[in-house]
Amino acid sequence: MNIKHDIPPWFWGAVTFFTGALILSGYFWTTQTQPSPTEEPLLKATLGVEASLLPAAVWISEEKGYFQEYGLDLTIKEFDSGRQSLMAMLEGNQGIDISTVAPTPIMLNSFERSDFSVFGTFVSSYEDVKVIARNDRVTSAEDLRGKKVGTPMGTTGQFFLDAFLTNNAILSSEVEAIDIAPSDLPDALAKGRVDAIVIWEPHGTNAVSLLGDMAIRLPSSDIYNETFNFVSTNAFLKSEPEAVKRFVQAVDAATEFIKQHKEESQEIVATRLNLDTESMITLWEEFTFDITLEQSLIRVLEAEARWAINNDLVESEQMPNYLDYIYLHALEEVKPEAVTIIR
Amino acid sequence: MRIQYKLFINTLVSLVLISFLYVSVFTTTNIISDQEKEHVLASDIQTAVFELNLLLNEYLLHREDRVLEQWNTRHHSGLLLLNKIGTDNRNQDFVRDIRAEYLLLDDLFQKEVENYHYELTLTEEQASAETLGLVTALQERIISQLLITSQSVSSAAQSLEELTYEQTQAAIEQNRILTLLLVLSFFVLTTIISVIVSRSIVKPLLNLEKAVTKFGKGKLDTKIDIQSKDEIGHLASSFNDMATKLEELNKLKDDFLNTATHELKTPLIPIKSQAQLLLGGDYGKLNKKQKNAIEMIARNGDHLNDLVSDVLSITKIRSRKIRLILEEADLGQIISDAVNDMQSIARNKQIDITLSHAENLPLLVIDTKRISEVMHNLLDNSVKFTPEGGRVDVDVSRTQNNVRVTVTDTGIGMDKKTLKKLFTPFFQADSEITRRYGGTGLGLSIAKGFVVSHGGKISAKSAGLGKGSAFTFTLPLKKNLHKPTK
Repeated sequence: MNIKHDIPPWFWGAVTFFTGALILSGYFWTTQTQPSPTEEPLLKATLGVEASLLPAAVWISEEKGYFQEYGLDLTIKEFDSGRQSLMAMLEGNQGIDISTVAPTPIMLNSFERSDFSVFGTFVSSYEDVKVIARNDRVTSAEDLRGKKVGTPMGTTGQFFLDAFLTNNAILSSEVEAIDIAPSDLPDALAKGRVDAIVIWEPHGTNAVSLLGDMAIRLPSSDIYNETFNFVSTNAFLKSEPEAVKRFVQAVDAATEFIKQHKEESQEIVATRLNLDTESMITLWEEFTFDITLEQSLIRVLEAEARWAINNDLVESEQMPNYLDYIYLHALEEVKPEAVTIIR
Repeated sequence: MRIQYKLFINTLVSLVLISFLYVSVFTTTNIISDQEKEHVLASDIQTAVFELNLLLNEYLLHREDRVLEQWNTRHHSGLLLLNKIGTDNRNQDFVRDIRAEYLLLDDLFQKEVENYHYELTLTEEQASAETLGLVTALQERIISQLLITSQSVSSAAQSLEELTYEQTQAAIEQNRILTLLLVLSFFVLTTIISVIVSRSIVKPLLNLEKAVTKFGKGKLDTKIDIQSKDEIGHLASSFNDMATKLEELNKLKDDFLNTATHELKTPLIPIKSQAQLLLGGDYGKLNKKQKNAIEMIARNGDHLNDLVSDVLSITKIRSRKIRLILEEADLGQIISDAVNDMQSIARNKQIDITLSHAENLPLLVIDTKRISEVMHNLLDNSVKFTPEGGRVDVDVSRTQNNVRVTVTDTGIGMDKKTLKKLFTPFFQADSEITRRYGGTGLGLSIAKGFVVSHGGKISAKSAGLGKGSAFTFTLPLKKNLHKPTK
């Protein structure tokens, strides 16, 4: 008996049809569920970034080629602080389109201009900003009365110093705050120009290394959850929304990489910033890497603005509406669940 | 109904049931989907209320205008959600109450904003202690009412979320049970229908198979009782027609053989008697050539007579027309006579025939002539196939219900294939044996027919070619005869 004759010819047709349909649906399903890097022409952008640990996602994305992968030809320019980077961008220097910056410079500039917006917070930490003192002059917060404290004025350092003093029932007027650039602070402390400094990483670790046993860190946890944000001019956000979206995609990919490959990420950042890997590992645990836009950012900006108004750091007494300084579209498109600003 | 229609209906019913199952599962899945949408909406409303509370606290703390903008946007989006929810009738009253409180919350919030802005616009002259007191008292009442309402809306939103969650879980559970019941019902129904359909096809087929098997064993009067009007019914009807025709043809053959053998036998009697008279010299002395010729005529006449008798016997056996003349007889004597009859032939071949039989064998009710013929056939067979100098032993014994007779020889023996067909009419092992030993090939078939007619059994054994044979037949002690069918 010929078995083939027992199977009707339409059966093979049906099998072929269903197999084909299965393969096609599988293809479409996988192509739809797996976001693939864009194959469109690269868009140009320039990023001004603080050369510190905080923008680890930028260093990872640069090393792993995520910017190119997501269709962005990104030029990275390093600055000593986020404030310097922001100012360069706002003043139109060095062609900066996007800047990394902490809330304080954003807040201070918001009283003078409204041509820039935050489009993402990419890292936060309660431990990044620290108070480090010489233990031959200061052993506790109370000892700061009448002492010189160095910090970059107009930055998070200044806001942090005021919050620290308030928490320890010390008036700002009881301390002499001296404006020193972040990278100069460890040396200033070591040479005794100041008795204490308020500084962020990696300068904090550098100061401790420089002073050795003479360094003391004053307890300051939970005072301030520092965030680091991406800011761009409204002109760039309006003219290049696709570039901003691709930038967010690349940073999000880098953030995922950090979560899944911690040690490799630490090595990449340590190499990039020429830091000791061991101290890097300790600092790393203090950061939370995630790209978000949270309601708390607005409250922090408002809190800092009230501080600035109360301390006459700004001329206006009118609180800016920080909703006008937020650009939601890029992150809403890439990762909508990360946007918790009430809307 | 034709088999293909039965199978088509079976498939159609299965397809209808599958479709019903699919529609039922699809419908219940849609119900679950609606419940899940309701639950997602309730969760979103809960989030909206939570965020409004957050904004309320922020506003009461810092009075930032930014909060007003966010409040209005969020309250509006929350209201849209409340307008969407409530497709489930069970939740409509609940949703109506929440909606009322939700609108009240906004109303109070807007009053508080208005009151605060009014306070800001008061000039120093207007801001008398009395006016400020009234404004502050109103503010306190509004804020107090705001906090109570926000708490109430939060609790209600949480309850709605929990309620819709429970409704979704209940719908999933109901769907699970319903699907299980449907699948079980489907399984039972399709099984019942398949069993009914297959039985209506297989049962007639089994009857047909039994009938064909019986027919193949020679029972030509077999008929199939199948009433169905399908292909199997048609086949059974054709089979019955064929069986009837074959039975008629068989009867015609038997009648022909019966008539022919009788007609052949009639002229043999005068041939044989005239040959005996010639040989006895009644018609004068014969010379040697004449004597040889007449002896040959007599011998062939005898052979022809035997052959016709055998054919007549086998015809009667096959048509079950044997009529036994039963009487009480001494089987030992019959066997002893048969052995004696064969002694002279055996002696010519120097074959020794021995007989041993048990004492006090009872008398049996048998047809003496037929049983004697059986015994002669067996002995003739053994002597014929036993070489010179061999031996043939006859043993008669009694068992509980039978008398057993065994004829054992030291003859040429048989292989297994031959043993199987030994009692088939006209069978002989091969043409060489037929040429060498002669015979009609009917002897053993006739012996079997006669023994079986007496209610006995007959069998043969052989250890193989050249190793002799043993034939055994039994006869019942009690009268237990096969009745002729006609």
